Amino acid sequence: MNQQFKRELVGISFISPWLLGFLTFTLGPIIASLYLSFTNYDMLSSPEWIGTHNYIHMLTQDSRYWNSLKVTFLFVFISVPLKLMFALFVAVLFTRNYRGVSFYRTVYYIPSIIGGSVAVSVMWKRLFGLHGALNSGLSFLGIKGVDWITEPNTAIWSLILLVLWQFGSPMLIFMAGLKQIPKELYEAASVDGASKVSNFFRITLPMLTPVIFFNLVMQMIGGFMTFTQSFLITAGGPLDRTLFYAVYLYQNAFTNFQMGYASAMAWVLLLIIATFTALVFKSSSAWVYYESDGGK
Amino acid sequence: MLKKMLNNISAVIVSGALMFGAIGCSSASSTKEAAVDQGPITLKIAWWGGQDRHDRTLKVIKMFEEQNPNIKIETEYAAFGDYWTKMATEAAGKNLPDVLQMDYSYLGEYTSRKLLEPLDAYVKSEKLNLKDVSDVFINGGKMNNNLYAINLGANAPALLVDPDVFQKYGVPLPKEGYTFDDLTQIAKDLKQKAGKEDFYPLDTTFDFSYYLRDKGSSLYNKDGNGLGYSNDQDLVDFFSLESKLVKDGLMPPPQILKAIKSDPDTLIVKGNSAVRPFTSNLVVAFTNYAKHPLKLMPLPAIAGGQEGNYLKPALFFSVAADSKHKEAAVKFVDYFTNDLKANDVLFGERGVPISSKVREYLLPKLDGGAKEHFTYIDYVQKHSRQIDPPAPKGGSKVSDLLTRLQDQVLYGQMSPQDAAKQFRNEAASILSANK
Repeated sequence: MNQQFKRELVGISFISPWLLGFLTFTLGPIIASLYLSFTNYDMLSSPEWIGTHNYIHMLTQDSRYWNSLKVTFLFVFISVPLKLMFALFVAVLFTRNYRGVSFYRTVYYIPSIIGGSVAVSVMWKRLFGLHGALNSGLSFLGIKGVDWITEPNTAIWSLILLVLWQFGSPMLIFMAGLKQIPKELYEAASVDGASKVSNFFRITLPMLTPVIFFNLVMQMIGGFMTFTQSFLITAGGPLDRTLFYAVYLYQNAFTNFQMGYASAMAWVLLLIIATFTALVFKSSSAWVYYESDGGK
Repeated sequence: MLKKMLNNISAVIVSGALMFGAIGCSSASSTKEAAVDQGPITLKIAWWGGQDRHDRTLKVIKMFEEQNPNIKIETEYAAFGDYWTKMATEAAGKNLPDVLQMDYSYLGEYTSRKLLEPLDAYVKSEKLNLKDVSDVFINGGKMNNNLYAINLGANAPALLVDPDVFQKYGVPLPKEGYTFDDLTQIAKDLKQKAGKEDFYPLDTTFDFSYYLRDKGSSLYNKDGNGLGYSNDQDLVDFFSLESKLVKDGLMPPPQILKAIKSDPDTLIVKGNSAVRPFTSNLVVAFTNYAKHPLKLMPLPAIAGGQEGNYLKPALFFSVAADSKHKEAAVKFVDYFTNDLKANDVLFGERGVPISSKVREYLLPKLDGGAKEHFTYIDYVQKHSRQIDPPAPKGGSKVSDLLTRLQDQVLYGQMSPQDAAKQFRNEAASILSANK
């Protein structure tokens, strides 16, 4: 018993730098934000306890809050499936042995690294602005384009396109997954005379479901927290059509200095993400196939 | 064994606590000593602005340090938005800078929370010399009859005019005392003569609170707990005017306005517009961008209305209430306000200097935009009415609401009537928190 405790103490002291960092810089602020979510706190004077008022106001009186939820859900439900399909498509292409495939793999990953940067936001405005590249292209076809970023009906699509373009990390994970699929399955199928299409739908896709599941969860969580793209390119506008949850949260915290309200928003977002993640996990037994579990 | 171990651990914890305690004591006593014998002290000074302002201010700080070898200065500077986030964080930690640049819109909030030091006693004892400063420049920094902020430069709402465009299309400039109707007619003439679809005579939207001042009314009521105008027709008229201007191609639609993110990209700089409503100190920068002389005029009036124009403190310096070195802080503010050499460097970049001596000293040296600005402020001094009190708590939310509704109207998604009604409802609920 003593020996064991001693051993544990050694272990704890080895991870103590991380532990200390976690407790002070992660767990501490998390607990503080839970407390602040029940207060009125503008940073200039000390927090004032107001019970559940922030939550009630958010859910019953703040129409911009509901709008931000609507925008975020629309964004997640459109961009995540499209992004996964596109990443899978590119990954399948890259598992074939073309010459220079590893070079292209790197090139296609680059957008994911630089996607949230200011430079890209400037580029995006140039591409989709009134006098941007897209409209010059359209003018050749005799179509007069709009400013795709400041036009209320198209703004969110320009952002969806931007995150689709950042398909690098799910693509890499898909590629790793594709390599795991045993060759024998395809060989057996070809002996049976299966076409490429049925190979894909009957072997590749079912064998890949654990990876799809993983990517879906990660991308969904990321999608709900999308911030940079909207913040840098549209700043939530035009007419709040790209006012993502995280952007509205930021505005409340750092423009209106309503830290209590912003904290409450953060906790509701946590609940939303947790609920959807749980739903996806629940549904996984119906569609995710683990070979190692004997097909369960 | 376990017991021994626990003993060891607690010994470490206790000795550690003692050590921290000791450090705490020593640091506390050392600051006390410093305060007594006036040894070298450190002042923290913060401001927001662009690169040009940072360079000028840093240079002046260096000059001040050379003159006062016992004062060391730490600096903190950022862009406007980040600056206020920073100040709020520091106020929460009770370590605001000794001298901080202040904005008219934040003054109410910071004084009501007692974060700023009243400076009247220093003015009385002449540690802060305001003898050469006329009251119109001082009053903007007063709250409840106490002086909390020293104006660093005067400013006024203005219409920026590009005389070249008027000349090119042979349209005469607006005359003194011109109205919104006159300006609309001028814009029509310009548009017709220019004959270009992407030429918009009016560069951007107008300010509703100025329009209300023209009518002798104000955006907020006296107590800051409600709107200051009683007839929604005022806002309906204002929104209708703007949306008509957009429909007639005289003012750019929001699709175009929203895509312009920085001053050098504005239509007037690019030669695609003739006039732009803005605040006067920006004329210096805009003249640089446009690379030819621009003029300043008052904003349009309303027939049968009142004088709308006012002198506005462009920005201030305030001293933090928690500052340990208030005398030194005041000394710095005094240097900034009165020293001629310092103002040679600052050169009216923050606005027209408030000290008449400094103004006289700088006037012959000026050219271009700065000169136009000095002349304009001189004119406004004689043709203006007392500025409205600073926006009450929640004011930034109300002006944000107004902008969003204006967008709805100009994008054609809402009628001016509905927007005016919604503005009153939501603004009233924001402001009622101040009752």
